[in-house]
Amino acid sequence: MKLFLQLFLLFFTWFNLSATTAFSKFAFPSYSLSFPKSNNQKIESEVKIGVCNFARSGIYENSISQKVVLWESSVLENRAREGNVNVVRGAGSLAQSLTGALKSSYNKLIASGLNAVEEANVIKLFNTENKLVAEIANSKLVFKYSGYSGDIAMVEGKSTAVFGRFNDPIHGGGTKEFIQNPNKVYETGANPNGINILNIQDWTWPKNETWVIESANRGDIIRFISDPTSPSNIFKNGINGERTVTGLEIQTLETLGFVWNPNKFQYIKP
Amino acid sequence: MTTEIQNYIKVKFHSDAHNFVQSIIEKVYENEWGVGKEQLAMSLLKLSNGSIDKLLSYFPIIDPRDIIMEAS
Repeated sequence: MKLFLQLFLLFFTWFNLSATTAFSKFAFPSYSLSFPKSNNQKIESEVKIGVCNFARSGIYENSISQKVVLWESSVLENRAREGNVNVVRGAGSLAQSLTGALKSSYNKLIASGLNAVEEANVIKLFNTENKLVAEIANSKLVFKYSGYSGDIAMVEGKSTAVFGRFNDPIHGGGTKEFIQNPNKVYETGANPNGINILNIQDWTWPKNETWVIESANRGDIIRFISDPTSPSNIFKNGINGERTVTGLEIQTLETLGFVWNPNKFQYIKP
Repeated sequence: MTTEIQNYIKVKFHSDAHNFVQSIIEKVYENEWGVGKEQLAMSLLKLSNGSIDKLLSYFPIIDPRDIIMEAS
């Protein structure tokens, strides 16, 4: 269309002012240049309107404005964070003051790709998706968990074996919170001052059972992140009869002499 | 996705459903489950026995271990 307009104007001008050559009347290309310019101005104007009125204009559909606003927010957020907290990767002053098992755990978590942010007297550890995964405060490493039983505090020198459904249908969360975390923050087996979660590529119940027995015999903290008293976690039909794998794990622990402690969310040996 | 899984889909499911079933199984391969991905994919296909409805009934997966246990 633009080409047609150019050609039309060229011939129109030429025929009306036939004493001169077409080249001397070559002013009209400025029209063709002005078109994209005005288009750009329109876009710029839309962006400005979008930024100014984002909150009230329902401009979510305007992807350009949205991108600009999101970019501006992230810049502001980063500047705020730079101003108030110390974003570190293994070398902050709090991190340097860590010692012993806590220091080893911290180094391991940083090596897994977590980013440390020091805020007041707390070291916060974020995964690569910027989700808070763990905190170190008062010489304690605590893994954040929003499902049944809440956060999981580590005990120095002991592994914490984490039991539960992969995808907790009652309280949300489940072991997937750790297994599907983009950064591997656990081990399968002994992990002093850290989490021990079952993750094996050739899963069978006998191997699962061996993991339960070994964890129990090693003296791991036996921590449940799904409710082990709920029939729907224990039985396949949610009532009775055939057990789920979590139900079988509970049975194994009870056979080993462990008893459920609802205050600690742990199976303990009396 | 292995050839074995692809062949299993071709043998067990109606030809119209092949692409759909493959897309579901690909999702299994995209995530970590605490068990083998191949193992879980094959268990889902075996339990479904050619039925898309049955296959979909396992989603969302509550515990992949229960699925493998049931399939074995």
